[in-house]
Amino acid sequence: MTADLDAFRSGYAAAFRGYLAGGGETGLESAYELGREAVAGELSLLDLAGIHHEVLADCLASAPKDELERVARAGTDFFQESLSTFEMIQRGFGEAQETARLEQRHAAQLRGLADAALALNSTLSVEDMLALLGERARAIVGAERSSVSMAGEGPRMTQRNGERLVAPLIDRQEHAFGLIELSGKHEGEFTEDDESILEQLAHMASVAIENARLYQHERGIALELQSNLLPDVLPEIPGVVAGVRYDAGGAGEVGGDWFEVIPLSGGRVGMAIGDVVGRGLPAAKMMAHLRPALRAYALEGEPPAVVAQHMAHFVRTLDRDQMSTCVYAVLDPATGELRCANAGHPPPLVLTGEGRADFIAGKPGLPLGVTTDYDYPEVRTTLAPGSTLLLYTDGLVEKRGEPLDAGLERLREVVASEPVDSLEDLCDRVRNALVREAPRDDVALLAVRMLAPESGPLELELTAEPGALAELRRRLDVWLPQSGAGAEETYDIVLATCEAAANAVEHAYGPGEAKFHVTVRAEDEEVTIEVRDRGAWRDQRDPRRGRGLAVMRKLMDDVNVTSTDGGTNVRLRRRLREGRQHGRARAHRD
Amino acid sequence: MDELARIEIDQTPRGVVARISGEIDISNVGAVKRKLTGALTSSSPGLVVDISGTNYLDSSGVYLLFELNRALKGRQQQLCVVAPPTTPSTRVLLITGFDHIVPVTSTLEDAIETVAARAPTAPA
Repeated sequence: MTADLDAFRSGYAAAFRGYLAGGGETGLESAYELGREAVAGELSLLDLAGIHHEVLADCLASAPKDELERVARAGTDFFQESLSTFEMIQRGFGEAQETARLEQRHAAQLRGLADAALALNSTLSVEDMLALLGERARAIVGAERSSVSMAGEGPRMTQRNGERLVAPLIDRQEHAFGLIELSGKHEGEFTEDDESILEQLAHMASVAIENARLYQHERGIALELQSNLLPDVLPEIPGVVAGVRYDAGGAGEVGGDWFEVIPLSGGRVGMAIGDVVGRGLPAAKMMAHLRPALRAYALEGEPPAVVAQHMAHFVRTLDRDQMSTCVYAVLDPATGELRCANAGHPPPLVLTGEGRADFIAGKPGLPLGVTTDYDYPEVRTTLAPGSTLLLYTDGLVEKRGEPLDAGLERLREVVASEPVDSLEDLCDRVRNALVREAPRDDVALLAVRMLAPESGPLELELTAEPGALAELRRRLDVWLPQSGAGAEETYDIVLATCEAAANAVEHAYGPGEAKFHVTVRAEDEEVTIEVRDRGAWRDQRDPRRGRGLAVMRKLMDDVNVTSTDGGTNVRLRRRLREGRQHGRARAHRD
Repeated sequence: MDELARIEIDQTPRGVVARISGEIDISNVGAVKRKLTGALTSSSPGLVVDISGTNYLDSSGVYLLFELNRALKGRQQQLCVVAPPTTPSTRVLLITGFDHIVPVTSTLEDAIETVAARAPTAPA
């Protein structure tokens, strides 16, 4: 009998491996045949379940991490098939043979064990497995209470007395890592059969739990890597508001979705979204390379097509066989000019303030990682104030067995279907309409809205520290063109104002956080700027400060410095002659 | 250095080339200065600072360039700045009269030529 069992086991292993390698229907037929053999060889259900578990455990142990889920699922199908024939034949001859040998209750227990095996192997989280184990053990043995614990040190052997039955959970290194305990038997006391059933169940569960722990450990690392790498808050950028919605794929492993919003010089804003093909730790690691690279290229101020090309080169240097896609767009909130390059990614969508939604036209360029010898096309368009640019990853629009176009059209309809709402509402609405509760794939959605021009004077209260100067420039770079300043005038006024502000910063005074104030007005084709602080005007004999003042005088029509005990007030005045129309493009900054 | 400016240093036999992109103001001028002076070797004929990709440069940045020029002169080395007319920061160099004191060229090639030709220690 032992020799028969061994022969059956190797037959089973070979057939299952054949099925895993792509046997399909023929593979399942062999499972059916194995069921017949098992009955003919007078193997019990318990023997069959035991053999299946040994074979499956071997396959899981040797399978690569990203195959675990598939192997477990294939195991379920294969085992079910072998059981179905087994059961069918058993029903025919069983009355005479098996059932005569096994009492009715024991047969039901075995059936329950087989079911539990199937359920355990289609569960991937440890928590779910522990709950399932307790619940099934109670049902199969017929007990009032169960408890499952993952305590480090426990008994290594099954223990039984009339009221209590305990079986250890033991891993492949023969280390007891937990236990299952039953008490309150429904009828009579716990028997030897109960003990053997619980031992079997504990053994199956141990293998399944150990695999799941390995899997969850990796998933945990990838998730942490991903959440550490994605920005917690989007930067505040004058002239735009941004919103984001990100869901890590729940059921499967994490993917490599990423996004980025970057304030650029001249008041412009860079926006990116990307997706690494593949899942789990490798995808998260790749994403960890891509995001900072894009940020660095973007800050160089290169146009999107050039940034995309740099990224393509960068990806090739990583020497990984991993493809990824991304979109990088640059918006000038002062003029609405939008430039966009697409490396194999689904097209960005523009929603106007009136509720019209259209994809940005143009065929996407090649994904990153394909070749370095490629010029990315760049699409240029102009957004009207109030328009929203929507960037997203394919998890939002892809459905199995459906062409991508259908998903895109669904997105367009959902975005355009309601009156235009807050970005947060928009992101939530789009996500909830298009993605089911626990998506398998990651879903990232980034929305950036261009605000209508600010009217009236620009009033700013800034902290007297060097970092405030960049913020001041961003605000002026948006406000000035919207108030009628041309490109050169904007440059001159920004430089002069920041020179005055640098004085305020370098002469921060007193204890606590010092502030300074900037007010900018545009009236009658003239811009006046006031920079007020509470410090003393710097000694003008300092060569460096003298130069700052000299720069202001060269750039402005009028410079007036009043210094009192209460602080310093710099007034700058500049007539606008250059450009009369609003929103003139600052082409020379590209 | 923060993300306002990025500096790429290229050590060539004909001089050190520093390409600055981004923005320079009082918040990062100290870091820029350390990076530039740290890149300079005594054997180099001089330094080319390329600000073609510098979107913003205030008077503290111009002052830094003046200081660099003084330091280089003392070491018999030549400074040259690449600032084409299309670069926004060129304007502040012109209004401060910087171009009267230090050679300013439109292309990197011209700047390297200038450094090689004017440096007293340049190889023949």
